[in-house]
Amino acid sequence: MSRNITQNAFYVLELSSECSVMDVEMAGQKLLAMLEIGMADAKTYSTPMGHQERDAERVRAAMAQLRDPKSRIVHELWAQLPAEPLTQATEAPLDGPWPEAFKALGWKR
Amino acid sequence: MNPGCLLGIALGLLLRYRNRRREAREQRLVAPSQWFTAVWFFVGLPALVVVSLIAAGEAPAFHWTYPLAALVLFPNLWIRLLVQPFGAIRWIYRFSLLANFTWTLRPKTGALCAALLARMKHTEPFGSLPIDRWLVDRSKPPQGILLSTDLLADALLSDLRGDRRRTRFLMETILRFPSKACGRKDAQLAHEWLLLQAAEKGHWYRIPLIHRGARWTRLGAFLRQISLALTDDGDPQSAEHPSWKRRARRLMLGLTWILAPRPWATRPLLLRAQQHLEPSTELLTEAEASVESPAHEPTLEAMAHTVRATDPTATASAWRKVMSSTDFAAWVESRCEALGIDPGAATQAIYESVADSWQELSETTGLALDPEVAQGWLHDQQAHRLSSLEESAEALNQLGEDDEEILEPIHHLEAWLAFCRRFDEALQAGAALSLTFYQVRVAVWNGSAELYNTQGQKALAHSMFAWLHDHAVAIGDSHTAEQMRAHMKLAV
Repeated sequence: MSRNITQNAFYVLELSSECSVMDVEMAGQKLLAMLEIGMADAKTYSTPMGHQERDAERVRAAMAQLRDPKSRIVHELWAQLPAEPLTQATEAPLDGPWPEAFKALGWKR
Repeated sequence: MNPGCLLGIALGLLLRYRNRRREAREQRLVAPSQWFTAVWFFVGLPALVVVSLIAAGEAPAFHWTYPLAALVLFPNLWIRLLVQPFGAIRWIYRFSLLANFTWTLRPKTGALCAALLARMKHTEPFGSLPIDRWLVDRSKPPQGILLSTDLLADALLSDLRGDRRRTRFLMETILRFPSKACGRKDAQLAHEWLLLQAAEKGHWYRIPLIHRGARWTRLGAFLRQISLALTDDGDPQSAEHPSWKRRARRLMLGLTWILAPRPWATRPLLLRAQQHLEPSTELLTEAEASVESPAHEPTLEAMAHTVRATDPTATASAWRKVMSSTDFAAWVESRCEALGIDPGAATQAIYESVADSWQELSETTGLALDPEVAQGWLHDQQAHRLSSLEESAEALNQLGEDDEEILEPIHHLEAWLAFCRRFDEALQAGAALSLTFYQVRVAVWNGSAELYNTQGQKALAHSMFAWLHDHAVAIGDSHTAEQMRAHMKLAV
């Protein structure tokens, strides 16, 4: 599991990679408040590698990372995929792999 | 005496004699001849039956003798119909010992190949069934000259163990074996495996290269058409692409699909290729067309590799492609300008994050990484790969340095496979083919000459000559190619 994706600050804060610093602060404070009163919706977030657990510490770390421009650009790179499991979000390209090849020709079941 | 008993004894003697001839052939390579069996089947066997029946005082009756003889002489049919469905691997092995027509070079190793092929149809991981131990016990290092069946058994076992790269190198080596040392069934299976592996990975560009030099097969013809449809340089989706060409492609696709084995199973692939040939009317969305976004195809592909977490080498290659693209450099520059940071420092941070993800991936998949590569793969990877390649090429070069000492055949094969692996890694790490080839050419040449002259491994040496020839042709070195063609004419 790549931490660059599962703990990506944009996924943690549910923001797009084009958001402003102000957006980061507002989203972070909102999530911290929701976690404080124990709202179920705030306890998980989606990533291309599935749902992850969220706590106040992770939210604060995400906010800090997005305040640092050098760190932010790394998170921007890794937040290019939609925050949904990859298999549901991406249609296989026509010239992509054919995973059933060996099964189709009777080599494997 | 009962004629059935006589027939049984006669067939037993026939098979024993044939197996002895095979064993004798293992010591000195002789092209297998089918004449002996053909004469026995069409002349000797009927004569024996007639004589035995007359001797027993009965009228000759052929209605049951030929089906019985056919069962014994052509066991593959009833193995497939009666034994295979029950997954009885031990029995497949035993009955395949009779299949001398199929496994012409080494019947016993061929029977093991049949059993391994049957094991591949089981979904349980290799090592989890009691039969796996039994199969491994029967897979012994080859003795005498290496033949294609020895390599095939090793390749199938490697596939079952999950080492697909070793399997690929072995299968490629089989296809380069001279025809005398390469059984027809072995070559057919190697060819089919390589085609299917390329298709499974989506390496459609490799299909015509595998096809070259191999016998025409229905599957090969179909996959070649699929490859042409999916990788057409002229962009078949373009509306300007001539419609007659698209129609011709579709026709050939349809024809080869009908002829291909298991057409219903390959139909989804046919539909994909046909869809790819349709002219595209879609326009790029604004987001897709934007040069400000790093979400261009190589980046998304590298991300997808990371998310799927299956192949660290492919992931590393995908990221290398991203890092070397001009789109990516332009994106980094524009974002750094917007964020007010130094592009050099930002790029370094990105490099480190990619290296971290690669490290995590290798831990997830359990594939060990060289520490040097893990520390700074983007800077050191290529140098490291080339240095490893040099070492393995040197190992080939030294194969014949111990004068007169004849080494075990498996030693030669392992040295060759290690070299193939390093060469492949060097190319994947971005090394230029011509540069890499010239770095190893002399060592491979010397190694193959030693194998041929002093070690007696003429078939493997021929395969190495063919490897040198193919790569010399690929980089346009006609001088080396010509010399290798001369070497390939040497006696096996």
